[in-house]
Amino acid sequence: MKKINLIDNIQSWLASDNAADLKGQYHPEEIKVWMSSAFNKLIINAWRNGKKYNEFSLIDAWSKKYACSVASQVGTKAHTLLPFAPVQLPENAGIRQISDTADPSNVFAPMEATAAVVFAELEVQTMDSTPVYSLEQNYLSTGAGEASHLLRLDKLPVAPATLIVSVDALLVQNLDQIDDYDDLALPENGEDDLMKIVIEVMRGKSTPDTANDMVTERKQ
Amino acid sequence: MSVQSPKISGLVSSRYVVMSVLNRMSEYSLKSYLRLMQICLEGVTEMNLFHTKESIEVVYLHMSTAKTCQLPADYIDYRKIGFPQDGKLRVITKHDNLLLPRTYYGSMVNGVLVPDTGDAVGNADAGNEIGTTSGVYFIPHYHNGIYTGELYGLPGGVDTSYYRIDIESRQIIFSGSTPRSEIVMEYISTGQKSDGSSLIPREVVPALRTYILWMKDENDPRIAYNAKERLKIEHEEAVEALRSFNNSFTADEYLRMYYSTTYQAPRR
Repeated sequence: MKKINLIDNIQSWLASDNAADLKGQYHPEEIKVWMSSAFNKLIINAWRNGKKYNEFSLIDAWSKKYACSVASQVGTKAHTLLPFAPVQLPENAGIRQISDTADPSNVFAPMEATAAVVFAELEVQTMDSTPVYSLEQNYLSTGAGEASHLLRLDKLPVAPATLIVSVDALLVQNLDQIDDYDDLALPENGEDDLMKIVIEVMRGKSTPDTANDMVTERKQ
Repeated sequence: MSVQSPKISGLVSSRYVVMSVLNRMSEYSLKSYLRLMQICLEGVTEMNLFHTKESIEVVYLHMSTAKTCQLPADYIDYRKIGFPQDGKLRVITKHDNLLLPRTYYGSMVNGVLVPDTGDAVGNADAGNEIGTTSGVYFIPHYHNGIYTGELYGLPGGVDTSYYRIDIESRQIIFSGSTPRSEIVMEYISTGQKSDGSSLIPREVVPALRTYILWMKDENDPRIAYNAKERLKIEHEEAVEALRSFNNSFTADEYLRMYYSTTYQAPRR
């Protein structure tokens, strides 16, 4: 089902029965906010189910590749900015995979942001050449509209070897990244669950105060 | 190599072993990769030290004028130390009383050790080294009053040249008649090249895989004791299989050993 259909359904369910009653309708943007939060619940539930059986193919349908250019390489280290904050799942699973754009089989190994000090002393640092990444909030450029998160990259090839100039980030998309007219692939009962969660939250909202309480507002 | 049909390689990389473990775990991402790779590399070293013959390496060393040879960086322990003679290794004798060369200790001045600038001591009275072409390998001696220019064999502990391992300075000290140009050492190595290009024999893979699967869970308090014990038993069985594979006789070797102690004679 397309995202817009779900929004329309919810809007229609919540609308008053009076024709042309604009006050009794919720704005689609408001519905989207609640839907986004409900969608995150679906993602984490899908991840938890996947974790039980080591089977995460359900999340594949919500994942999308973004090419991110590698910046400021000094030696084997560099960084890249992510297009949006990754969906926060345990084990950093919001980032499904980071790979070399030019060679998709060259996949980076994830590392916790504080693990470098441990691995630096072990053989794996020198004996294994797999490039690694760790996630951090963007501390370099934090202005409005700037990318909020970055990946620190390490063990990148250096010249004369072929450099990695761009990486493909396979990210779980949150609902904000999905266009209104994109298909939202949801598992069995997924649409139902999503709409029920949103309606449950929004129907509890108190109705607008439309009664005239005879108080005259006077301008000073 | 037989060309009858294409075969897979007899050697694999440590990356192959880790990927094989991830496949056994149905884990199709690299999130545990670094941890498992480190366990794998430690496992390779452990296998090399205790369970396989793959880590026996040979190095040719030049002796210094002070009659010392530096140990290779990957040295763990030695198997044989000697020099080439007639296409074979002439193994020399260990002597634990050889003096190890050191400088004087120095003295502490205001809590700082000031080294003594005196000359190095030790090994100064060692016999002169000789060339490989004029080797004297047996001690001339008197036997029952008759001068004998050479011995048929030497008793244990008596030799013309000796060595001692100086593990603190990571060197070998020699004494007596040893050709300076060619010292040959067979030694147990870590088995790991520092650039990670070491390859693993395929027969070691099952034991290495069980090692990783065991060590992955061994320090996890959430995993039941009996599950850990089972992993340990599986690993020990894999190691036994590997040791049996490495140490087994071939039928031909067995027959040669058997025939070496038998002879044919007329039946009486």
